[in-house]
Amino acid sequence: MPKEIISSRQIIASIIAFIVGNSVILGVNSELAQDSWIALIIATILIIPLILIYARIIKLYPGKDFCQIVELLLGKILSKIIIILFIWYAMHLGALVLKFFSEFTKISALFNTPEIIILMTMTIVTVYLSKSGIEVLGRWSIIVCTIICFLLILTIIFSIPNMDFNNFFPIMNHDLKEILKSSFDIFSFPFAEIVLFLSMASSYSQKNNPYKIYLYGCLLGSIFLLSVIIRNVSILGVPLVKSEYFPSYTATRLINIGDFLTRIEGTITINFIFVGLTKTAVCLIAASKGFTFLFNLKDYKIMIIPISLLILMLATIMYNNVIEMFEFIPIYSIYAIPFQIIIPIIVWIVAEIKNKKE
Amino acid sequence: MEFIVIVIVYFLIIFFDLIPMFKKKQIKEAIIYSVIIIFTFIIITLKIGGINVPSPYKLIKNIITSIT
Repeated sequence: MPKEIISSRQIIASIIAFIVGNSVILGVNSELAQDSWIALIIATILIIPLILIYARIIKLYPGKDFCQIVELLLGKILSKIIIILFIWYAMHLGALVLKFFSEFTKISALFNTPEIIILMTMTIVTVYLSKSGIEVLGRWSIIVCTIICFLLILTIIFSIPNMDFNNFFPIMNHDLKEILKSSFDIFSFPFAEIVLFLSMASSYSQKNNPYKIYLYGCLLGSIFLLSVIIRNVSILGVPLVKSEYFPSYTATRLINIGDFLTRIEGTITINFIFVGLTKTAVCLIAASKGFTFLFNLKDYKIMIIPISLLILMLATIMYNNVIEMFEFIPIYSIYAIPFQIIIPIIVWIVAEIKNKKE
Repeated sequence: MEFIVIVIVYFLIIFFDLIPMFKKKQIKEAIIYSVIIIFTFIIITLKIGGINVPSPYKLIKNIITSIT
C-alpha cells in the first residue's frame, strides 16, 4: 500500500475543523455566559503543555503511528489493552458527534424523520470521506476551513447591528472555581480530543515540525471559538445564552438586514455538517487504524465500514433524549482524562526513558 | 419503514463489500467483518423495534459519579 502523505497546512486545517467541531453549534460553554471567553483563554493555555507532549511523541518516532509506537514501547499485551481503550475512545467520540448532529437536525429541521435515517445519511458520507483516504481528508479540510471561516465572518458582519457589548459586563461575575472548572471542560472538549491525530502520525511529512502544526492548529481553533463566543454573547445576552441548547443557531436566526436578508441560520447548519463530517471521519480513521493494528490486518480502509456500523450502533443506543446528552458533557471531561492525558503521558515517559538508554 | 431501510443498507454492504472480500480470499478480514455486521444489525433492529438496549452512558455515568 503506498504511503499517504499530507502537508502541514492540511493537518492544521483538519485540526481546526476538529476543534471547532460541535462547539460551532453548542457555543463552547454556555454555563459561564459572559465569562466563557476567560475560560476559553485559560483552556488554551492549559492545552499547550499537553500538545507539546503529543508533538514530542511524534518527534521521537517519526513516520510511525500511535499504535506502532505503543507496541514498540510497551510490549505486546499492554499495548493491546491501550489500543483497545484508544479504539473505544475514537468510536465513542465519533458516536457523540453523530448523535449531536442527529439531535440538532431533529430539533431544528426534521422533526418527524426517524433518528436512524438521519444518522445513516451522515454515516454514509463519512464512510465515503474516510474510505477516500487521509490525503483526501486533508484536501477536504482545507475547503472546510475556508468555508467555515467565510461563513463565520459573514455572520459576524451581518449581526453587527444586533450586537451589544454591554452584555459582557460584569466581567468575572462567576468565581474563580467555576471559571477553572469550565476551562477544564473546554480543555477536554474539544481541545484535548486532538489526541486522535496521533493515530495519523505516519502520514505527516517528515519535513513538518509537529510542534508547529499542533500549536498553530490549536491557537487558530481557539481564535475561531473566541469569535463564536463574542458573537453569541454580544447578540443574545446572558440569560438567552444560558438557556439555549444551540446558541449559535439562535444568534444567527436574529439576523435581519433590511427585511431582505433573513433566516440565514442555515449557514450554521452547513458549518456543522462540514466540520461534523471531518470530525467523524478522523474518529473513524483512528478507530479503524487501531482495529487493523489489533488484528494484524493489511489495510485500514477495509475496516472502515464495519467500524462505521459500530459507531452508528453506539450513536443509536447511547442516549435516550437530548437532556441525557447535555448531562454527559460535565461527566465527559472526567471520563476522557485517561484517554487524553494519562495514556499519552505514560507513552511519552516510556519513550523518553527508552530514548535516553539508546 | 426504518427497518426496511436498514435491511436495504445492510444488504448493499454485504453484496458490494463483504462478498468481494471472500472472493479475494481475505478470510480473516471477512470473518471479523461478518461478526461486526451481525452484532450491529441485531442491536440496531432491537433498538428500532422499541426494545431498550442497555446504554454504555449509564455505566460510564455510574462509574464517574462513584469516583467523584
